[in-house]
Amino acid sequence: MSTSTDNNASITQESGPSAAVQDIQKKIVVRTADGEVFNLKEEVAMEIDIIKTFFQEDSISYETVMPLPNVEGWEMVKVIEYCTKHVELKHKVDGYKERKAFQALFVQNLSTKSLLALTNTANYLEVKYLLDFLCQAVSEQIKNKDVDYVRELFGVENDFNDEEYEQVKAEAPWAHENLNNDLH
Amino acid sequence: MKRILKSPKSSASGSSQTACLKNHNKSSSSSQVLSMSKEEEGIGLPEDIIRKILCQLPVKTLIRFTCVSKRWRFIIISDPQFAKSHLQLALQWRTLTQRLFVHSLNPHFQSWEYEDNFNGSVIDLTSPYPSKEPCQRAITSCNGLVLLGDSYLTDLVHLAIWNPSTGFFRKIPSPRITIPRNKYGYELDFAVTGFGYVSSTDDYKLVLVVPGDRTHFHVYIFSLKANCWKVIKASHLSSPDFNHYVYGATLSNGAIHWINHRCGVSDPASIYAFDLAEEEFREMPLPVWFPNNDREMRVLLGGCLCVWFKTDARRSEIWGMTEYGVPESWVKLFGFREADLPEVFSSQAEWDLCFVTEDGKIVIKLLESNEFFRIECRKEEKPVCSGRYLLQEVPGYTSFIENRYLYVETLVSVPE
Repeated sequence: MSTSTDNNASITQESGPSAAVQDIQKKIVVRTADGEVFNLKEEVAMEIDIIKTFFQEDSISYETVMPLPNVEGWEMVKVIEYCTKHVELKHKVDGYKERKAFQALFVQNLSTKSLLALTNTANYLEVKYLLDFLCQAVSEQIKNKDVDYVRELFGVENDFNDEEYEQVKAEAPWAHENLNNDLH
Repeated sequence: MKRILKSPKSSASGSSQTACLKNHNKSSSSSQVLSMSKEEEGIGLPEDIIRKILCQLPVKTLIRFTCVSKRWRFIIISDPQFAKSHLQLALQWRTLTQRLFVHSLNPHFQSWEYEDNFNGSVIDLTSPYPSKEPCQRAITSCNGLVLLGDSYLTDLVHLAIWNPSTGFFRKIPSPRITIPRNKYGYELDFAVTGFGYVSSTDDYKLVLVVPGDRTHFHVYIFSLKANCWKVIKASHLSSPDFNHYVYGATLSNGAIHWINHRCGVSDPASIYAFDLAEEEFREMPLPVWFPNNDREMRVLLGGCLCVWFKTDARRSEIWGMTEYGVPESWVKLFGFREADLPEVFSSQAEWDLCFVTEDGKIVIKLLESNEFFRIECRKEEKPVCSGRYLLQEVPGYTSFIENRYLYVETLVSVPE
């Protein structure tokens, strides 16, 4: 670590003003809904298609701060975390175990509701591999849950009346039995 | 209680949700966004993301979630595209749940989930037939669709396709079959029945192979897509023997197979295959020949075609055609003697082979009792009994398991 800092320092000293310009060009700045500002490394920012499209296709200068009104600060932190790891693992030959370990930690302290919010964000930001992973993680977590839990989680209204609901439920009673309802 | 699936009316989406089409800046998807009305809290997740999440769930969970809302119910059991995606993913990840019909006491069925550690549940299913009609037996299945009916040609008025997991049920109109007679004038009142999926046309076909005359078969084919029967004549490849009654054919690689026991004891039997896409017959040699003994076809849980031989001296051999269509690829997968497993085969009881799995396990059931055993066969060593499962008694009924009672849990439906 110290070696690279030294290197950076020496480069800045030797190259002068052009190096400072280089540094700014490598960062992309976004602002989330709650007003937080994030500096992303270019290679990480380019993993996020909506950002990539904004800057590359429309040739917008990197000095522009891109607004992300549908994204919360904490979500941006998580997205950056995942994409950074993804970029890092791209260059590794056998990163399978490391990826799995990282993924387990990534979701560890997130409630299912937060996971779902993050899924929505990954969809909006257009990061396909993160979206795929989060969908899988959500499905794992809801696999043994009951109907009430799922309705509440997804915010889906029950449009069955009582009679209809009983009828639908009675068609396959086996599907409602033997659930391992974890505490949630 | 009847379980007839009604197709949803257009109000399936419910009054509180308005479907509006928004174009996301996405290159790939044709996504439809259901914007949630203000009454609903929670995440306004686009429907294609909900589908993506749902697609990965097991069938039992999904059937439960049909109670969440009318829209969810529609997606899960009334959208053939969703069912197809779900099946494809499950096939890819090998997460399909295997079930076996263990009791069918009209008008109820029971099916048992095969799990490696024998922890699977038994569930009750009600006959899908309308109350006035007698319930039929399971003949065979494909992709979670079970063909119900009977193999007697005089009785083919009750053919139907049923998905026990979703309740989807569709009657098949009866074919008009000229029942052939043998040279003594007796009616040959049975057929080889097969059912399978044809990927090239995205269709399911039901096939009845009937002896026609001395040189030809008559093959009656029903396409679920076309919703009609047709009959073709196909010449015999070698002398078939219709004195052996064959019930259901085994599906593998887009063709149905059965063992043709030829006339004349000295003539070795062979495998007949009828390709569902090409609608043509093929013949394949069996790997070995044990005269005067039982041979049955099976399909390995991993997919390859197998033949189970029961020889004299209470030995069994199971051979698999590891490369389909290549006779040289027949390999003996297991061989064991019943005497090696006295705790299983104590009383010379008859037994039936239920499953053969890729990793050297077979599951059998004793005919006289409600016990399942899992036997692991190692190549050089003696076989080992590694599990036993006792089904609950159904009074007055001993379940008779045949290979055709095996099906997988899917959401597949093929409405008219």
